[in-house]
Amino acid sequence: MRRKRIFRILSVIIFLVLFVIVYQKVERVLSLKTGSSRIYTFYHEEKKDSLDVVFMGSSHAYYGTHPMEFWKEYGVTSYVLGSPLQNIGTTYYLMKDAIKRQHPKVIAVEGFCTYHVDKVKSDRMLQTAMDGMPLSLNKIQLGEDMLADQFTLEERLPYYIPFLQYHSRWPELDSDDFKNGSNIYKGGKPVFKTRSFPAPPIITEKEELPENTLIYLEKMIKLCEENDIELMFYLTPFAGARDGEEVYIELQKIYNSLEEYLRERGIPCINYASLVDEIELDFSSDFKDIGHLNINGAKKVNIHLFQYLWENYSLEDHREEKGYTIWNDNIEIYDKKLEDSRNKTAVGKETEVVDLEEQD
Amino acid sequence: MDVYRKEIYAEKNFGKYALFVSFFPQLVAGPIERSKNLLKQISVKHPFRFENMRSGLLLMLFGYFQKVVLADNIATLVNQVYDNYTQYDGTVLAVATLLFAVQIYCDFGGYSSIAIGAARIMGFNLMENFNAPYLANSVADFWRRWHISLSTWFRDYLYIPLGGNRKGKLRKYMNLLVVFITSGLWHGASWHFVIWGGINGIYQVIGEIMQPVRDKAVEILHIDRKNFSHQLMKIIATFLLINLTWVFFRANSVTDACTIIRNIFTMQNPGTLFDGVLYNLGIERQKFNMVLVSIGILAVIDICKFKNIHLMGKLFKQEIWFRWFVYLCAVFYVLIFGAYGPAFDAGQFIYFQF
Repeated sequence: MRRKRIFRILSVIIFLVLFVIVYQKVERVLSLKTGSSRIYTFYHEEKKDSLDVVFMGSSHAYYGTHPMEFWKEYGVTSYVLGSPLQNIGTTYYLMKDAIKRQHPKVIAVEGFCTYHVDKVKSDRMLQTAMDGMPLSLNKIQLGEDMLADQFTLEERLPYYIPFLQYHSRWPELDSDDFKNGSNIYKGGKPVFKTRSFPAPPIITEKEELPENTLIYLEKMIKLCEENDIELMFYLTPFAGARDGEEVYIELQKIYNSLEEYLRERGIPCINYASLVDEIELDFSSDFKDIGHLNINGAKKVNIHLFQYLWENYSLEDHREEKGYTIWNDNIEIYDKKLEDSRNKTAVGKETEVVDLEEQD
Repeated sequence: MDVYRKEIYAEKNFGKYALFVSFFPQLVAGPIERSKNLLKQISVKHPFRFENMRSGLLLMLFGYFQKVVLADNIATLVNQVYDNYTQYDGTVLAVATLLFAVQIYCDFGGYSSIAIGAARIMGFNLMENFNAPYLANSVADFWRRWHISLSTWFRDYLYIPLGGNRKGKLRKYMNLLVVFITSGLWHGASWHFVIWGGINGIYQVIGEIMQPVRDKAVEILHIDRKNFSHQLMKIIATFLLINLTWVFFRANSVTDACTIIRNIFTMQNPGTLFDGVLYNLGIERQKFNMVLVSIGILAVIDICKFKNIHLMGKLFKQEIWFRWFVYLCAVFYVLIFGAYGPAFDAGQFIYFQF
């Protein structure tokens, strides 16, 4: 009798575990992949504690940073933990959660998120970031902080339990939904498409940093200090702003203030708007659209950025190390994918899908 | 009432009485439980039993299948058609009516299954409320299988006190009509509910009156009443008669119902079944097909119930891998195909860059 009871309790537990495993798989298949897959692969495919540098931020981070180039040049492992329109609050909580999985020496934040101060500019964009994260206390804190004052609990629940919303996506599943996101680019998003722009004006004025930016900046600084992680910022260049010159000017003013604020706090910040000549950025060939770098522009920024990281932090070259062969093997696939992508763009076949990733 | 009839003792313990009145699994829409069944159970101890939990959970799952997979998905379609019935051809109206029959069964039946299942987990036995109603072979039989707790309630507390069938034929017919019209009013204070109840009453009165005629026909034509095809014909005829009443139940008014019935019989264009209109009635093609598959599953389950095949018992006899596989498939079937949560609207996610 007692044995039977123990057997039953055990079988219920095993069944529940089985259920949770299947549930997670099914939920991922049903989830909308756009925008969330690089965060998902960060958690589910990158080996624990294997990254030296984590880049974070919005689309400017993933269009403008290509970790495989870092590996090829210096043998440093890195990843872009970015999501469309990521605001600084999201960056903070995501950082707090990500360092439980990886303990990088350096976190480099692309600073556009500091301009994005509205708690939720677009709730869909927050959802893409959250969809990639496993359920955790940090994820719930992120959701509550961003959404609680605007949305009811019922509206917030799908952010924590994506199944609630995505289960009804089943009629539109396609084969891509069953594949895991590609991990080859390590979070970067290389684009060959080119649009030509005149050089934008150089702005030197400043504008006061939004209060929210300051709050989360301080939280980030504290978090990195406590966890013994070096924090730095970088600002990829713009050729202008989609919403007009005024917005561009305002953004540059914020960037200038951010640079100053961080300098006073002893946090490095590289503003590439002021290094255009040094890195030989060409506004006629280095942008995919007015706000985002294509692969040409990104490589120019990356040469400088990776060199800076290599010289200023004690990063190690892992290329000859045993545990890192997967990164070396990856180079060939990466080069091939890039070449394919380049050819497609050359013959104008690059799909012109206006998707979430085009976002700031 | 039951105390007066000496069917049960008077409960003097207010707590137990309150619990009886508010027993949560059935409070909202579940089976209408009599004191002689439930009140007695409240006083008895209910030790936790694994078997009860297992079959209770499965029953609840079946209830959710009926409610969120079938009823709620079909509701989208039926609402679309019935609320805009002038835009649709008779064939579409007929399809929507047939689907409404499934919807209303699954809605009530689903609630009942969930309530009975939840109660069973705690060790309580509630009465069965729906017994494969659409496999009834007469309207009277339908009412013995449909919302059984309500029908028997009306029988015991209205039909029989009115005299039942003890006071002559005419009085019996009157009583039947009164009971069904009252039942209509119980469902909602509106004329179309009254007519719905009335028609059901009239069906039974006509059925009774015609009984000798039918007996004669059977005799002359040498019909074997146990014959499958004869039974099938009766089941189909009953289903269609019941469907006619559902039009009054669902339509927003009596005039709407009359127009819908007229259009079903006059504006028939069976071509509509093949030109894709059915996939544009509020649920897309894949969902419509999923609903059809689900109705198939429901039909199999109901036929088994009808034939007294105990599916759950058979399942529990299987090996563990098979049982678990069935459980998981069933749970995810409901989780994925159920209509709940904020709708995923792809349009909501399309961002126009320029």
